[in-house]
Amino acid sequence: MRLLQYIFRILLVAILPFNAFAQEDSTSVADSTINQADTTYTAADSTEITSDTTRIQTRSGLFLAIDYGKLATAVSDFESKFEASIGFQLSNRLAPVLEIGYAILNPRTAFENGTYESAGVYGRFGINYLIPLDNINIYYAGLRYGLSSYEDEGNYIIESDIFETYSVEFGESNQTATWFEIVLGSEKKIRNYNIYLGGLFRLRFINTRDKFVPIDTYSIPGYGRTLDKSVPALNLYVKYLF
Amino acid sequence: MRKLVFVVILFPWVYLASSCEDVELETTGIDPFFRIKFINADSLSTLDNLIAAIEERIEIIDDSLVFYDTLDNGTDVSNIVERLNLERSAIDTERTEFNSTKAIIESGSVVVNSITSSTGVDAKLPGIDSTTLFSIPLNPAQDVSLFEISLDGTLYDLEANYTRNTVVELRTVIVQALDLDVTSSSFEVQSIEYEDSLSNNSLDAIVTVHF
Repeated sequence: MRLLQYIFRILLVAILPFNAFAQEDSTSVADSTINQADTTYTAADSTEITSDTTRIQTRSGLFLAIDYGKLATAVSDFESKFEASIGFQLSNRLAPVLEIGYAILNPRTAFENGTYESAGVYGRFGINYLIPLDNINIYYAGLRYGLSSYEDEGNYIIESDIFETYSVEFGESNQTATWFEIVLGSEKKIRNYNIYLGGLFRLRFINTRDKFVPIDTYSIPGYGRTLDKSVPALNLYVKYLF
Repeated sequence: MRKLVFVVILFPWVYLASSCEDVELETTGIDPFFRIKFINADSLSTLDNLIAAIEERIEIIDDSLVFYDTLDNGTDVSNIVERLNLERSAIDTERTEFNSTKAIIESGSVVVNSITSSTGVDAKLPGIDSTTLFSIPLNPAQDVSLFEISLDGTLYDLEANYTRNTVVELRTVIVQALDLDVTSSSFEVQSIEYEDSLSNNSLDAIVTVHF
């Protein structure tokens, strides 16, 4: 367990912002009487973890989360996303989770001489394994299976010096794709509330998708660009644990 | 706590701002074309005839010089030999000039007045007289392109047939013209050669026509 914690600490400190200040915030929280015991444990953890592991408690219960990073895309003109998740945190540190989202993607870099848009709904289900650092900060790793139902459309333009401009519309509806994900994340409890701020890193591996010639699907809602067989992603969310 | 606020609020906005740069569509240089070489066959034929006549005359002169060189009857033929040598030198110079002109014609160097598509728009022509290969854009919307070409004030017609193929290369949609075939009622189409023997793309094709 100690080795796992060190591995996740190295990985997640590098990729997620929350753990960069987890230790610092824990120290500040130490001044409050509510979490004093937790913080004391955190300090002791670095030197003598084995004697205190029983003091970490994993809360169980239903949770809801909203990806606020995706909400911010509502004001952009190149994509619009919404994603929320529901899950249940079990006392055995397992947390089944279902994520549902909707996305309209207008990647401007899809084609140099054209436009592209894909839109659809997607869902992912899977499970997280929670690794509490203390009673405030939690690391977790998980697996997901994703499914997206979407359509895309676009056009491209070929200009000629001596002939009329050639403009072509394209698009396909009723497309589906599935993929697998490896998830590494961390979250931090906000003081004494049941609210957690978290971030997670996903590495997505395409399983099946519809392919088209000559203009293939460029981006899949919930998965991302189809150019690579694995696509990384970063999510920021706020979670409420009932 | 201030770091937390930064991450929660500012990070998504910084991310969005960095993704909002305007991207202009690149729509030129992606249409199909082929290259063509114009050979003035009449001039070439005339030059060939002239060069052949010169070579025939040189052969006669050489035979005469051998004859006079072997003449052993005491007759003074020095004036004749000198005159033959002068003539030979003169027509040899002329032959060299004709060969140079022939090489220029064979290279395809010709002044093209205009290349006009069926839409009535002239193609951009290089402003250099020594141009030997001319790029002619093909219609990306159809499998056939018609042209009217003006050479030395004479109009010629040209029809290009091909099979269009749409591909995406480096995020750019490109229309290729494959299996190019060129016909004309006024040009004599000599050859359609591909720089890459494995290619059937018009971009690699060089068409040679005689006029």
